[in-house]
Amino acid sequence: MAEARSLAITGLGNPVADRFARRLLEGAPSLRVIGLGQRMPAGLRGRIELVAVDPGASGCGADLEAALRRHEVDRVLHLPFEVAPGETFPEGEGWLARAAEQVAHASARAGVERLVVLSSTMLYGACTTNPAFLGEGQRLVGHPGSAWLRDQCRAEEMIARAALANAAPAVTVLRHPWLMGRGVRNAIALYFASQLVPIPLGYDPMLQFLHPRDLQDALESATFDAPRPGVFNRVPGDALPLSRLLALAGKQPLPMPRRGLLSVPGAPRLGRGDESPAVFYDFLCAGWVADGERAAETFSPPIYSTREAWAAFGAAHGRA
Amino acid sequence: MPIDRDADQQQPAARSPGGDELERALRQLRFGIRSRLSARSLDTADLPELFATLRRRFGTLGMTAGSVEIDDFGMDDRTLARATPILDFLGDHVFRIETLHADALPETALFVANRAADWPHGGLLLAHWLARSSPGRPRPRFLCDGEFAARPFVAPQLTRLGGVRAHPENALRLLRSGRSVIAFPGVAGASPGGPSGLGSFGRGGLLRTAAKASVPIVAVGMVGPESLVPQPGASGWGLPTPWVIAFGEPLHCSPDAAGDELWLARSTESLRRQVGEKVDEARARALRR
Repeated sequence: MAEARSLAITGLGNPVADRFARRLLEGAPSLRVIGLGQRMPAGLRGRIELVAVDPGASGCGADLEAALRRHEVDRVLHLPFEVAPGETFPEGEGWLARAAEQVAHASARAGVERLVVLSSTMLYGACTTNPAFLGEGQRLVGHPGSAWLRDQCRAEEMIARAALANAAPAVTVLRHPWLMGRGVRNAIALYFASQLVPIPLGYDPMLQFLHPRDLQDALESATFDAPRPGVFNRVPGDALPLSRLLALAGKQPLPMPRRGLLSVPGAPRLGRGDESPAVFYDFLCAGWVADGERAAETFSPPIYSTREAWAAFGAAHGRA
Repeated sequence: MPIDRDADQQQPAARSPGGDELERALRQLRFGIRSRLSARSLDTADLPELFATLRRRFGTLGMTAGSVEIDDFGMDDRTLARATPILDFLGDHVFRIETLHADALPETALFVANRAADWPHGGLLLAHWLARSSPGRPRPRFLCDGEFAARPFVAPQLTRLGGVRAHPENALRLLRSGRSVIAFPGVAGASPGGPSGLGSFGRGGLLRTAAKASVPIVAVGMVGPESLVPQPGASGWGLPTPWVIAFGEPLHCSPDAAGDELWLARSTESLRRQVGEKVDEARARALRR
């Protein structure tokens, strides 16, 4: 793996970044990995050096650049989008966009060769006007009620602007759908883990689930293989209706009208825990299936289909 | 006033000769109903089983646990198999679909039909007729108006039955994968002789899609679907009338044509005219039936 000398990861503390850092430490022990941020998961303490800098704080671009230069970083993984359930964040709206802008420009100034950014196909929005398969060129609309998604839309815009303005680094953006599989910890997995699953009455959208391993493979490939600049939908090749997924896992759907759904205690809240459950339920009303053909040609195709990723999750939380 | 349930038994003289048999039949019917009701009283019902059934039924309200055979656009083979006898019955006996010039249709094509009605039943039955007439081929898919493709309860059912939201990217993907597509441009319920003709067919999007996919376009005129749906200005529901579907000659499109704006504009107008002619032909045939 690697002609890379040193690699920096932002967003340590969230499940995707932690898992990838562990994988790097096991797969390439000679690679120097540093964390840029303010949180360090217990399992990585002593194995990764943490540079205490808040990428989203105003005016921290110089600190970021200095840290990247000091550690001779040539690859940066910007992964702060994912959120572990139960974590609290003091950062307000705009943090993701500021962090993206500052990391992208600091990377360019520090001579970083490659920047890999993690994003989500949720940014396409769950709109009834969407085509059945959303390509990478689709406009990003997020969700009108979600500050988190709005912020991430701006973050992608900042990344795209920085990529246009600077010849280097080569920027790869990976958009992924909801993650599902054994050991996945996020608000969506918690929601589907229960036996009785409240769902919007009268809707049965097609859903895609990506196995975390396929995301990790794509991250690794984007970081260490030949540069592949651009935006890619890292999604499985198939999608299944919600009803079918619930039946496969032996879950009992509980269709409810919207008002009833919103009053269910413990309704899932996306993002940083402060989003209205209405945002999540809107993603169960309209389709937002992404077209992963381009990513499958560029990287290796995902190993797990939606059905298999769901089955891996269901084996732990149901009967699939 | 209390009702005397056996009053009819007390006045046999007032009955006509045939009335005895009717009376006997009614008595037997009443006895049968009462005996069945008493056998299914709540005292003997399996309440846990009843609760489980109700919970299962409610849990799948507006959904289905369907088959695994679900294609990338959500069409469900099991739902289709269940619907096939109903669609056959509707097509053969209720709407008595008759087709004109359907003997040499291309295997994969973009069928462009007049929008006889706002509802997607025309597309559903046309797709079913085409699938039935060419077994072994992938089932043609019909494009649904955005309004129907988003409506709760309706949208999931349409998707399972082969409906796809009307979008150029959806049509292109289907055509490229060898599946025929049925599109309904224009204004619902409009007629070729009406004030606005069939309505606008857009700015060449249909032709461009067919050209990109290198498939022919077939103009289709449908008469009949409009009779079932309340029309603007009319009150109430219509009775089903026989349907006539007239197919046009396939118009072949090469991929190079997708970028030729002049060709697209001219061909769109020509397609609109051809669909209008097919509607007139189908209407003339329907009047003769």
